[in-house]
Amino acid sequence: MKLDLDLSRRHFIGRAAKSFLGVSALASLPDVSRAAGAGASSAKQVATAKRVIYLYMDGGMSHLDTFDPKTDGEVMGPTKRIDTKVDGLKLSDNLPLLGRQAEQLAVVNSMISTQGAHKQGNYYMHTSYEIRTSIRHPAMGAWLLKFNGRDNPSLPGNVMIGNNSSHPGAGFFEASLSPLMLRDPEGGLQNSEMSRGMTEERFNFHRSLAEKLDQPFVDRYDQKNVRAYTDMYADAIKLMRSKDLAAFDLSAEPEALKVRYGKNPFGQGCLLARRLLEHGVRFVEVSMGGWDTHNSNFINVPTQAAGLDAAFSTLLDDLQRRGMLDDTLVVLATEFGRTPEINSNEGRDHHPQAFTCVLAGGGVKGGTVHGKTDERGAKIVEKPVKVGDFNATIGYALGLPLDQVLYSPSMRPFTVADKGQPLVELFG
Amino acid sequence: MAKSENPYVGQDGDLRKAASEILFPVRFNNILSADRALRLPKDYQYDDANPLAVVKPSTLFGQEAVLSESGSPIEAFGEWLTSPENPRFTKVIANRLWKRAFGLGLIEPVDDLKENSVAPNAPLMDYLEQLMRDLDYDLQTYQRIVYSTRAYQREASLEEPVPGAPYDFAGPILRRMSAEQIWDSLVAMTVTDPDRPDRARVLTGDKRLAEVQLIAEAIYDQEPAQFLRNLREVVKIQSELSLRIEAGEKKVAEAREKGDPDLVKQAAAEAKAIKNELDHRIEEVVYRDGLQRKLNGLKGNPAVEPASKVTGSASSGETGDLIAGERLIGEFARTLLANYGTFEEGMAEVAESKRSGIIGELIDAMFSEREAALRIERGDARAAELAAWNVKDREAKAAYRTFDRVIRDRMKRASEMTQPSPAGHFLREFGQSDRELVENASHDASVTQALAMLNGPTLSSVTNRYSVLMREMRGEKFENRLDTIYLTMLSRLPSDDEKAVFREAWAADPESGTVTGIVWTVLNTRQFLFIQ
Repeated sequence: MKLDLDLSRRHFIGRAAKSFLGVSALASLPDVSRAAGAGASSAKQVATAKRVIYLYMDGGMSHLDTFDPKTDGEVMGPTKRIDTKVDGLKLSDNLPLLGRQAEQLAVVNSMISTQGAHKQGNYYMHTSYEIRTSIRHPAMGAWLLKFNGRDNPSLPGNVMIGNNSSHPGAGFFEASLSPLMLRDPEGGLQNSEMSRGMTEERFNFHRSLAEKLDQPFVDRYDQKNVRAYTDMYADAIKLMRSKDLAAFDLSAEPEALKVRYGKNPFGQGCLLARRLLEHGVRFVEVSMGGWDTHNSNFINVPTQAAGLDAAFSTLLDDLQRRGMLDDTLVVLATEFGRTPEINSNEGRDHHPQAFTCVLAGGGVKGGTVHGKTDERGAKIVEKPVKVGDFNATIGYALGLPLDQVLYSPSMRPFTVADKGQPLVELFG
Repeated sequence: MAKSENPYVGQDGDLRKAASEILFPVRFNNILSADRALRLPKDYQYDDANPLAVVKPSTLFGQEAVLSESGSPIEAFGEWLTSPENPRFTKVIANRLWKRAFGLGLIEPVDDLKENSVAPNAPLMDYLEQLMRDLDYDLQTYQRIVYSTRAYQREASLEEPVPGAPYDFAGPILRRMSAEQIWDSLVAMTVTDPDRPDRARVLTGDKRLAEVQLIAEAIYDQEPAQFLRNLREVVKIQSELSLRIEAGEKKVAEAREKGDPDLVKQAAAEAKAIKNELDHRIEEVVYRDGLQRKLNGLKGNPAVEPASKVTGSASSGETGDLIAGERLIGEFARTLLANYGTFEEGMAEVAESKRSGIIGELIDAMFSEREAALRIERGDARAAELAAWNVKDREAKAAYRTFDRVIRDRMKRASEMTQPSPAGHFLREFGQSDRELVENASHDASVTQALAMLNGPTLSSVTNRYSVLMREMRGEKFENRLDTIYLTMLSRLPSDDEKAVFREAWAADPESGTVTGIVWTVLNTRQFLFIQ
């Protein structure tokens, strides 16, 4: 039919234009103001990391009281600095367990951000782009899935454990790349079991009935959004029946291990993350709040750090024992650091000019310190690392093409870490 | 850390700290409006103006905004924005309402119109723009006209619009219901009065606003000397408490030395409790003083007389006129007089009770009538239902309890709930906007949506025997019940083919023909989700 032909030609042209880079049809768009992908790094390696656990410290973790302690008493307050077995790598006394595993950590002390407010800083760290009102950018997990797809087709590829309503998620990518949001790691996956009273036979019977009733509709409206629902229902049922659903069940873990991780949402979230990774989920984010210590910094940071210390150190140890650490990248990130000046509420305020993030596993050289801040932790004196550079490093570990441009539905070009340059010296 | 090294210690710093504590609850009440000229920065780099030049109000396109001597710039801006001559204003709304009907705007995206944005069907866009102007922006009539067109009334087009290619509007496009539409549909199937406003939530909101209002009145009417005295009082309290906070910090450090996580938690909790105490003490010192002053000022005021029955609050409707300056404190005064003999007694009584602080007590007292009225209303409604629905035996009573306490609470219209809903809620799973952007809703499919429909609590809510759907189920014969379900859920009767499919199924498995089963089946079809 002639109509079909015209339609399919338009389809082809539309799709072709989207997949070619910098093609003339797109270059003539008025708002493509720079060459697509310009400035992005062309560095690429064979992936040393297949999967990521992304630990996000929400609120702006004080670098001085954790991974970048100093000796100036006025700056440090009651927090002390401790040595580790790695020369040059010093941690605060709030992280004693991690101190004993320093040889696994690559500490980036010279992070710098342009965003000093929570929403903007959080978004910037997760996406490498600044917040705009016109578009939502994808977070790292979605980028990874976009390039590499899922490992286990019956489980979601991307999971977020924690409480973050404004997580950018899949941004402008398709919703199937969105992270599955799990607020309570000990509660399991919502709605993953048949409702009470429903049996397997009933379930299948009604499913096939629904399919039969739907067939004329589906035949008539052979459209993308309808097909998407067909796919999602199939995926959901596969998930329900999958043995991998057990990944969400923490009761299978020994009690002693649960205690070591810490009986709190973050600790149990890290344990769940390890399980999900074992079952083929590629990217799991676990977030911990309570780091916005404008008040009572020296009460609140030790409390939060105790939880971080237990969970992070146990996670690294657990991954190593299972032989997973070499190809699992563990990331510790936060939106900014905190001021060396202690305010009138015994607290520290926001400080994006210098802060610390940490990498471990996934081919990254442990026992290293990258970059340096001054003796008060206020300014960077060596090797500043922008947020984009940090995310480029994550992409590099995963073997992602950092300069590959992908277009949003509104035809705007984006790369996984914008113009970030990866820290290749961190890799063996 | 030695206090003497703290740069904030010292008269001014302490007073400032005290002031910020006191003003914290009313921090959103003030808008700073400086009446000075806006100037370019002193290091302005460009050729088009000089540094420090005054920036005059101007507009981006269309006509220049007209600034009159007496009117404010914001009024001039408003005039410009909503002028029929503004090249964007009419076009945007005409386009958006077209999209609401047809699922696709004449210009897409609807929230990003530019200078060169031209509708592929320009004559239609021009016509609609003119129509809107002619109707003087009567949105209801505009929509009535659009909905009356033959194009709208056709079934959804089989053609899937291609992004970037023009769409001919042979009919509306096939679109999935929005998250709110799906949820509201389920609500409409379940509760009799889905449009009923959530009065309990409105009450909570009003209470919070009243609280801030009271505090503001208590503070702002103070004489400067009085306020300064209060500040000094608060500084005293703060320094007393900060000693205890330091002690608390020491305790936390000691607990960590011992390596006992529980001890750490306990010490931290104690430290936080000290902060709460500070809040309470400030309340006592500052707000109470201000409120007392206000009340004394009202004594002898003929407008304030003992109320015999209900104060203005309960009878002034859901939103009430509570937030109207002097009236609030007057309401409170009347309440005090009604419940206690004198103001002093009232204040004393209220201050005695340490439950939720003075302000909390006052608010509870002021709104007690309204809360009681709400309770009575709900009780009456419940009694009426129990009678009308003949809820007699134990099973029925249990089902009713679930319906009344659990289901009715959960099944409120999306617009009556806090927006956005928390992550994980049905609405968010189905793509309700998280409100981080102007338009951030999604109609994409996801696994968790499918799981929610297949296994979630929606089915049990909709098929609870007291839901609207179940009560409306007519007739004994399954054919009739099938008709009801189809009309409710798909807005049509089942076709002969569909009836045949069901008959075949029942023949194979007679147990399957339950209403619950049929509802579950239809709920999990794709056609339920899409608007044809």
